Amino acid sequence: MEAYIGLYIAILGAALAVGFAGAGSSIGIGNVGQSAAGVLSEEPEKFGNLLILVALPGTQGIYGFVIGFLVMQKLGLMAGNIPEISMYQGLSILGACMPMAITGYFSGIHQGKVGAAGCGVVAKQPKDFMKAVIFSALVETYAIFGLLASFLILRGIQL
Amino acid sequence: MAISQMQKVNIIGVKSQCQDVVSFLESLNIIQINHIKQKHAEKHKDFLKPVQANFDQSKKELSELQSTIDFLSRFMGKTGFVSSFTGSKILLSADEFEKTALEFDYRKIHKTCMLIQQELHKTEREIGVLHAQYNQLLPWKPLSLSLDTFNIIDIIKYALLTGTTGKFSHFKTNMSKKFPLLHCEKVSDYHETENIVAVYYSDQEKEIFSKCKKLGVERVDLFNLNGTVSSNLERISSELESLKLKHKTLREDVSELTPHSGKLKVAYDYFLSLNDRTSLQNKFLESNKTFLIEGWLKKDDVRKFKKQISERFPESSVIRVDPAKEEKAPVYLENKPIFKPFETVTDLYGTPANTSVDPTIFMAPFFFLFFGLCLTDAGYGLILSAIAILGLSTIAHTPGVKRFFKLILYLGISTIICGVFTGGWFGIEAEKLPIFLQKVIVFDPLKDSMQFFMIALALGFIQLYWGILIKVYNCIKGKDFAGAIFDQIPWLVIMPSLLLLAMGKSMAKWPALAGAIVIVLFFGRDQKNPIARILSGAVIGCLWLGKDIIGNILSYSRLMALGLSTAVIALVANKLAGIAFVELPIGINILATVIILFFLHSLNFLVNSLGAYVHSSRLQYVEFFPYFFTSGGEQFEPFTKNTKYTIIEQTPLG
Repeated sequence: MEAYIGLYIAILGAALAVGFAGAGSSIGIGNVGQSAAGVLSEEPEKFGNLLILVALPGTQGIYGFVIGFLVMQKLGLMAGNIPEISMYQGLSILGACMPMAITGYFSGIHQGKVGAAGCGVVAKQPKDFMKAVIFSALVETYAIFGLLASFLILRGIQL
Repeated sequence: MAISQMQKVNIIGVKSQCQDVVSFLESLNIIQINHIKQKHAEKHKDFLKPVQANFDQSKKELSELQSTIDFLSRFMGKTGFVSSFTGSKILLSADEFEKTALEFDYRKIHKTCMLIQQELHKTEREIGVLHAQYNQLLPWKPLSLSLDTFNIIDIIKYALLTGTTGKFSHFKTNMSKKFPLLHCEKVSDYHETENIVAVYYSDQEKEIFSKCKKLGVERVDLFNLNGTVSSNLERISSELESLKLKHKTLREDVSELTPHSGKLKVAYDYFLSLNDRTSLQNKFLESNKTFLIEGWLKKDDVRKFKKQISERFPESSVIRVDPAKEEKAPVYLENKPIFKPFETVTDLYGTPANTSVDPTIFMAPFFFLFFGLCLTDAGYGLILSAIAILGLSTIAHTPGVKRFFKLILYLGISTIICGVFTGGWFGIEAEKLPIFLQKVIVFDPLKDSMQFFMIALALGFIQLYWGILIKVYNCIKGKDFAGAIFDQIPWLVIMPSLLLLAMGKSMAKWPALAGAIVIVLFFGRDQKNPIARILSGAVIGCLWLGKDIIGNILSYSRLMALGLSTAVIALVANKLAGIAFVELPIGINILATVIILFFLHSLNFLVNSLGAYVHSSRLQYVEFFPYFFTSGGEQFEPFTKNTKYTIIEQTPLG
């Protein structure tokens, strides 16, 4: 049991990165999706544009998964042999996952809000649709930094 | 290159030719028509007044056509998934367009459609009413009494009652106690209701029904029908049958008309353009015999334009005019064909002010490279290029769409290049690639991620340095030498010096210091108080360094993060497919592998292409443009046919 505590903590980190970033994305997409469906009921031909706005907050979930996967790979879980990891190493990996988990969760939610407002742009000013997409992507920046920080820290941890 | 020179012109002609001139201008597609304000005409108000064209007729025709098209479209097949993105427009030549619209008698179709629509509504309404009657009669089917019985006014009366299941026995005992002469009989149990027929003396009517209400049993009124319930039901169902048949034939009539939909759309666009031409005339001035048009042309087009007008309309003349001081020329971006597709990116941000520069050519190489780095997979690049080529050869009929697909083609090529040098081929691990592909790999994003990170930051450094250089050039061109020397050039010294310092070259501290001193002393030169001047120089300088330079450069690290995430997801797709291939029973495993590979790679491709496009744009808009670019110009919009459903192939005019 005690020999594996480091591993448990490290896996907890991967789970948090995937889980929280995915939760942020789900809430975000849920937000935009509702507004988009509203516009769609009036103007079904705008499905293509709306789909892009709805899909945008989905990237946080993907970034979270990237970090989760990199942790799994680092731990050797994909290869099937369970390594011995000290508690400190486990805690370091947990820490490395936190930037992604936190930025993924919050930026996903807020990107969803910006996207929901962007649906109004699609409805009223269809020509300026890409501007709404850019606004939405401004929020995503911080999830990208979260991904970067997590990645760089993870890379620096020696097992 | 860059922003075209524009020329303002006046066209004066004979009023009787006004319509023809407008049609000719529409076909030329090179002049933007201004609204001549009353103010400008004030000088000559005695004989020049604004044109008041009447376009009610074409408006009416448009609304008739629109309602017919909408009506028919409800009976046509659903639009496909792809056309919900691209829209489906009718492609035809200018001659075909004119011919179809003029020869086609849309009014006949419109009238038929409106008649059918009325009939359809009427039939649907009748079906609805009969359905309701049928459903109401159905519970009373076992009743053998004729329904006339309930309408007879006599000493003895009949009534139909209904209550929820289980109430009848309680109701019967209760009622028989109070009204011994009342007789109740259950007719049927139907969907949780009990249906009752009651016989009573008419003088007790009021008391009986108020008691019924208290017991939760309600009286039912079955219309003024004759005959038994079952005969009525039969009659209604046969009527419903015939109505449904009528509805079906009406629908068939409509589907016979749907092939006209294309012609209706052409006619719509014809009247739309007629409407535009008529309403455009409201922008003109006119005297008793002449008209005056004001507009903007590209300077290069003026000579050709003058010649064409004088050949076609010898009575008309084109005069070059100087714009008023406050008047701003519309902006038309003109780049070499190779840079033209990147105007899509500039247009999205906004049209440059006519005093600013066209940023397209400055940012194009960066945008090209950034997109490729964000995807870094030659396989995806190939798919992107294939999509672009497919689009160019099938649906790209208008210049805007063509320009967009060309951009996609460039971005596909960029992705292939970046993919080849980073060993990205659908996420296949570098060791498993053929030797010749392994040899060209410069760095592997997954293994040499620090290198990738540094390359991203270096690109940021280069683009910002480039931005400041353009700003210096603008300052010098605008004769703001102080701005160039005190505000911009010090940064050009400080930036590389800091970089060298960071690399451990201590000699670089002197130029950095010199640059900093210039900034501190002169950045706040608007302030009169020397202390305020130095203080504001230092504070703004620090802010600039922190936010606009270091912050912006760090923002470019997104290139690496996006490139990395594409690579990782592609790798995951392959790993999962590999697991499925090994673990699942033979036979299913191949299918599962193919599905997993297709689904995950498609997802990765779509999400990351969009991300790459959006974030490469953002780096231009937020990080690069503010250094030298001001938007807010008015886009040059030459007067041309505005169509909703059709695309008219342009034949170039000599």
